[in-house]
Amino acid sequence: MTEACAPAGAVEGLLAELREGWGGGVLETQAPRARRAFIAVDAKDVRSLVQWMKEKWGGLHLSTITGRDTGAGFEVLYHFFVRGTVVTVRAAVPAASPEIPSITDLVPGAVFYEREVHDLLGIKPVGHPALLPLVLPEDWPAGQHPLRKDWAPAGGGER
Amino acid sequence: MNALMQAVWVLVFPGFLFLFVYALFCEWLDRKLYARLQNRVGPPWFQPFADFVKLLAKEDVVPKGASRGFFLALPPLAVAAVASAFLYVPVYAERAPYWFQGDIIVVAYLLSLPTLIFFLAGWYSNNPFSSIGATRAVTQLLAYEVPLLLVILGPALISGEWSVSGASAYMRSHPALIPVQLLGLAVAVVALQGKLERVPFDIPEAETEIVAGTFTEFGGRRLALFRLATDMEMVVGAALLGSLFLGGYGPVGPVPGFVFFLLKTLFIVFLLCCLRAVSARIRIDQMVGFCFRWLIPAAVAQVLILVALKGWWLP
Amino acid sequence: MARVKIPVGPQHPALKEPALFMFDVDGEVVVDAQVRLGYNHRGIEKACESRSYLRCIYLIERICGICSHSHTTCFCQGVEELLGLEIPPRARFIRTVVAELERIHSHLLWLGVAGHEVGFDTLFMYTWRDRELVQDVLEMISGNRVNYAINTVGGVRRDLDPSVVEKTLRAIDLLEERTHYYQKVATGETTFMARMRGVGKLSREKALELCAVGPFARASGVDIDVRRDDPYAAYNEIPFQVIVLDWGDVLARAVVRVLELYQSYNIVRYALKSLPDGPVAVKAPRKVPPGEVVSRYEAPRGEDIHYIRSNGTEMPERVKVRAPTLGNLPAVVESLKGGYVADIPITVASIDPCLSCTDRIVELRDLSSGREQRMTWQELQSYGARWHGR
Repeated sequence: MTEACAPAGAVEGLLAELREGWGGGVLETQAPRARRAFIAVDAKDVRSLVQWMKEKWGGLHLSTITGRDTGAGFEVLYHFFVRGTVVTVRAAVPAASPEIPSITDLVPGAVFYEREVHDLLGIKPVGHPALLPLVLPEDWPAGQHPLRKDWAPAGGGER
Repeated sequence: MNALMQAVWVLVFPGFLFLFVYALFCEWLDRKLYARLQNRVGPPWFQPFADFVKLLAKEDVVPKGASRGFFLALPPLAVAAVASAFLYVPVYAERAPYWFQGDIIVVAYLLSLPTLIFFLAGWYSNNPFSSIGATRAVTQLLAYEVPLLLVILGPALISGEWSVSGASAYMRSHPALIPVQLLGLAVAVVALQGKLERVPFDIPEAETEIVAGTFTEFGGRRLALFRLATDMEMVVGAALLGSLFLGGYGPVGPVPGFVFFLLKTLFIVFLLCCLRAVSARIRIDQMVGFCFRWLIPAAVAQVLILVALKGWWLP
Repeated sequence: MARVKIPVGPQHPALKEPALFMFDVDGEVVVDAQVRLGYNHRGIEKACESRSYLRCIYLIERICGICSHSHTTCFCQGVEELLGLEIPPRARFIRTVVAELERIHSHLLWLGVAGHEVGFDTLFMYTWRDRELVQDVLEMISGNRVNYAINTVGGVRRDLDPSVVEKTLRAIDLLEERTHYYQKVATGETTFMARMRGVGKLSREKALELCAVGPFARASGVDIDVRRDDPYAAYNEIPFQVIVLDWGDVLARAVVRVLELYQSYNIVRYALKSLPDGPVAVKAPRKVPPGEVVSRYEAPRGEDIHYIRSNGTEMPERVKVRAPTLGNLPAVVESLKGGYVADIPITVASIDPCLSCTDRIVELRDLSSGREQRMTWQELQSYGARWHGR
């Protein structure tokens, strides 16, 4: 073993560092267990937070981006692995204008994840270099986003 | 030599029919050995024949945009070229039926024809995989053909006989020359492997890269003929090497010479098969580099050895 | 030759599963590459939302044939975290044993495929023959050769009895011996090495930037491994090493995998010899309290991550699955550029792509004749019955 995993108390330290160091508005933080942190921010602050984490913490690994239909709107979760902790950045996206700023220039590894979220939930990453369909067919009807809660396959789907 | 005898010679034995059966047998042997070397069971003896018949019965497709004329003409042409070459290799008599001084060159030429035909087949298929395969086939041809020709001419140089039959007979009467020619035999086997487009030189038809290369668009009876041409090329190539480097046909006591022809050909096929089983496919640039860096110098060295031998020790 | 576009996929001998890699090729050199997925969608994430957690396990088991245990473990440990359930130590060890056996089977499979991609079919045949050993062991343990179905929320569904432990240990010894032999064969074969060394280079910077994972990233000098960084199951009680190399080529990826095989043999041995006593499962309630969890797992191909959100009912609100292959695709596309056409198969294979893991999200079966055609479950069932009844 080259190094051990991050100890249990590390998450609180990390979150404290973030609250002090980063200028943007942290809406809410949670640390449910060792090596897990959830940070809620405004969608417009995501880029600045990613930039800050990248510069201050370094070695920022983006595991994936999850999109979620909350019923009232959408929520996008960026799962980062940094400093031995899974830092999930949560941003609410209004249903009326489902758009998020793209982070592909900061984290090039986000290219496919943003395309996936765009395909399945119709949340548009503004500034994405090549927003082609990734997982849906080319002739998929526009405006159909399968992972939205109000979407169901014709015939009521399978049971 | 009457007309009937000639027809039997060309069509039945040692001509086309014998070559056909022997080629399919050698394919089976090659596949079976390959399978056993890989710890598999391998196909039953009639598998190549079954494959051939099955392919003959398949739908015949000429793709849109491909040249119809070439598609029709090329496969039989490839078979014809290789089958003609076989007529100059001694099989069951001292001399091949139609031997003449200089037939070594004709055989070498006829054996190069299939590669050029494969190139045309790929080039006129209107398919990116095929055209890449075609380019690779010709690039590879330039690399292995030079050393192959050099070492094949070795026995001719030392014997002064420019026919396969003559050179073969000379080797038989001077068995001490066989060990001297081992380097040449090694070069020839490796180059023949390249000519037959088999691992590690199956670059023009590399399955995982370019599907089936030049043959991608071919199916049915055209593919059957191309495969037959390749099988026959293996037999003719093996027979040629067996004749030139190992003395080929030649009776020993009560054992007929034909048996030795078979044994020597099968030995070459065995070498080709082992080479295939123990290596990975190399890249085209590595292939060309290998031929120019190792194969050609080795071939030149072999020729120099023979020339020196002829000049000083053999009157 | 002029610049041409070469499609590799959706159907291509080098790919065992459908994906499309579109290459711009200048002679024998790759200039540019794009990836297109979506030929394999099964709508698993959506389908999970209308199933109970228990039924979800069976669905998630079928995300992938090779790393099925990875996905179910990842899912089960996430649900257990939501439930606040502590699973028995014996269950954690059994999960670890099956996980490592799965890794062994996957890495052996990969070694064979790598041989096949560069035309070294002999290596392919030998490794796949011996892979049967580990498949037999898995069958003995779980009853299945693939899709072991040994996980459940709260533990595992089958116990290991002493005779199984003993047989497994024997098979592991044999496999280790065979692996040494393959290592010797592969490194001794000049043509094979010539096709691996210096091919598909990926620098450490690029690997980090493009968020590569697993053996692919570790071969470029990125020191990540969920088993150590974020321990789950019994990994914090078992000593093992994370193999990291900094050569960044296909050879490094092969060596990392072979060295990981030895680590896995040791992990299985250690886990079986120090198997704790006790039950193998605890009872889990059907309803899961509201909450959310991020669960990670080191699958044979790299980090597998599930995000599960519960809403207090017996069905999940949202299940998100990111299989390692999707994480590695941007990086492998990068490493293909500037390489030879001949190196495409082995480079793509070097991430051990598993596209059924990657592609799994959407419903809809068929868009024949330009019109959408959707089938209900009943229609599909009767279609299947008709088809098989022919």
